[in-house]
Amino acid sequence: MLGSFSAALVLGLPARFYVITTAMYQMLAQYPPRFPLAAAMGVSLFAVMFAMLFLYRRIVTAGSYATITGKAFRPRPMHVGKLRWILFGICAVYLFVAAILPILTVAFASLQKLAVGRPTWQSWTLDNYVTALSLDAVRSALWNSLLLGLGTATIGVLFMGLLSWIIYRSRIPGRGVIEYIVMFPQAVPRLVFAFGMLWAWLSFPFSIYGTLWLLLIAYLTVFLPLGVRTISSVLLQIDKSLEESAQMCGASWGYRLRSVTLPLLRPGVIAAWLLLFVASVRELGASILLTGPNAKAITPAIVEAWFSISTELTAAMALIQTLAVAVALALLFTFARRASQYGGE
Amino acid sequence: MVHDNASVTNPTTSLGDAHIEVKDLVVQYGQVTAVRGVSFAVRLGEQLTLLGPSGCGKTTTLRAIAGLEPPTSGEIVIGGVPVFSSAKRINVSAERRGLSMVFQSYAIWPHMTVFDNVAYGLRVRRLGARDIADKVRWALEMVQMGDFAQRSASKLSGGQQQRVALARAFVFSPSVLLFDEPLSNLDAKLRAEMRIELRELQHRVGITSVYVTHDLEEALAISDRIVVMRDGVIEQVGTPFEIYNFPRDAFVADFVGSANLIRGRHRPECGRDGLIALETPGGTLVYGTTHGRPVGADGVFSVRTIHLGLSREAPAAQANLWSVRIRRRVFQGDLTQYHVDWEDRQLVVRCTATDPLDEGEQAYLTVDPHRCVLLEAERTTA
Repeated sequence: MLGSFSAALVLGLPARFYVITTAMYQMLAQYPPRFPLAAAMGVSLFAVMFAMLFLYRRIVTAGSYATITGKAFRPRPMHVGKLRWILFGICAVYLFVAAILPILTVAFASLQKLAVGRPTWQSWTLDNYVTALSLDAVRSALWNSLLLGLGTATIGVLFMGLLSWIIYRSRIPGRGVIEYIVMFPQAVPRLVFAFGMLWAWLSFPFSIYGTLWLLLIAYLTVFLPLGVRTISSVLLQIDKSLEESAQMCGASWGYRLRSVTLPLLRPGVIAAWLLLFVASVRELGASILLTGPNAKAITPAIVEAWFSISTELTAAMALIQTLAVAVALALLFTFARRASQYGGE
Repeated sequence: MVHDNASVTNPTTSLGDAHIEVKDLVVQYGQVTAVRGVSFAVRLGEQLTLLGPSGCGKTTTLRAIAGLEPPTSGEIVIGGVPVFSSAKRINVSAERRGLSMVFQSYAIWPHMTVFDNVAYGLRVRRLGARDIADKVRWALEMVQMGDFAQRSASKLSGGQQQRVALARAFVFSPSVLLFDEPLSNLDAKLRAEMRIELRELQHRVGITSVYVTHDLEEALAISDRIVVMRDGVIEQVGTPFEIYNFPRDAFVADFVGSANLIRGRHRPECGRDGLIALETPGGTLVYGTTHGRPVGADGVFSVRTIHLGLSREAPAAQANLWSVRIRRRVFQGDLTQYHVDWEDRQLVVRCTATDPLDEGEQAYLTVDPHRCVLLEAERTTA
């Protein structure tokens, strides 16, 4: 949570309530930008994160936290009697406040000319959607984000699948180190990471800054832990002997990969693809520093609209984005359910 | 030579009809040495079993032959062709060794039908569709799974999966079949059936095979020869009969079925009729056979619990007849196990339960001296 950024930015900034990431962003967004100070803040945040990561590893390695063991285990429902409805109520209220209410509010605001608590009949409109979809900036940002989502997800599953395979299945020396490096971006707040990238690429001879390529590279890096974990969790469920028996049948590496490993890995690859897609489309922390006039992404564009245009238009944009992500999520769940069973084909 | 360990003591000697030769095999994982200098040979068409407790290096040895585990040093020759040699820097990859393997976990591919599973090795070898169909049918008939060809592999029971795994392993006529504890995940009754089926199948197909198990009965039932391993080295090599009746040392005697060990000082002057006598610390003379092994000043006899006899009336035995008291009786179904007081220790006797003796009863204990087998001297401390 130390690295969290988007909520703090939108809710905290107008009230001048800063957290470390938003403060860093302020340093960089003002003119002239105060790079050294922002860098110092980033490094200190870095240090705290690593201390935490170290502590976490100490705790996890100290004891056994395995829940899945050789013995058959089945979760047993607990009887809570009359408490049942109270507990259900608490859950429902939480769900409502945390997830449904914000979306309803956004929808509510997006459908008005001027967002007020008690709108009259005439104030309802679809204009905001028309505007949002007709603005070139918004259209290109949404298009860019979907394109980046596709690119990140597609390149990501290939690249991260290969990394998972190297870490958990190959005999390549130094694969333990690779595992550590892969999990590295998890410890670094995305804003700090993007800041580092920004500086690094600015001083590079060829100009990649201000293009979608930079965003693609950034996404592929910050989502490395997500993709590798998703694919390796499926890879680890595939018993090694399934690949070995194909080898003993005389199949070459490529043939084995095609006929055994990939088909068995398919559910995991699909899940990883969709997760990467969704994560890329809604990414803010890294994108906000790396977008340029010709390379906008939808989430930074929404934040920009929030600070400079109107609440209603922002709401409409946010809802369009939410809808796009929701469609992807619906697909994810359909595939995830099918992923739990093989055969029957 | 009684013990077929020519290749153990002298690795350069190769058997004339050896199909697989393993010479000075060493396998290390980091700091751990799983196999420390193992040498043996498997004859053409022979079923050889690597037997030992878990962690003895038997599975590692098998996987090294398969090419799934890279050895640290040594040499593996299959059909006269070296597939691994640390000296010659040869390491043929597993898929090019022309072997086949049945895994402990069956390793049936859940996303394929039974037919596709069995056909896999044939498709790899680019056989024609008709040829494949014929061979798969033949292999499935062989393991009595002919009706299951179109069934999804994920919907089979454990025993059925193991049969499919077996069919998949021999359908493409490999030169060697490797088995890694293939029956250990089946229940006892099915295991006993499959044991006999495997033996019959092996005779019908006639493939050289190497089998790994920790189950003594399994090893005795299916093997032409057994290699007993412990801590990464070979303890003894021999036919099931030799291994069972003439264990070389205390470990094999104990691991290969329960045995009583009787220690004593050698009394050469008491020997007769080709038997030797050991005098226990309590002064009892026990007669036994050397089985051609040299006798030192002291010796240890291994006596199988099943070879000792108990009776109420004194039998007409010349030697090894003692009066004992029944200390404890444990009913085990087919057999009854007695613990009897003998000198200042107890001996374990197992016999059929027709006329049970009571605890505390006096009885006569006897054993045929030819069933008291001297262990090899330098190994008795183990």
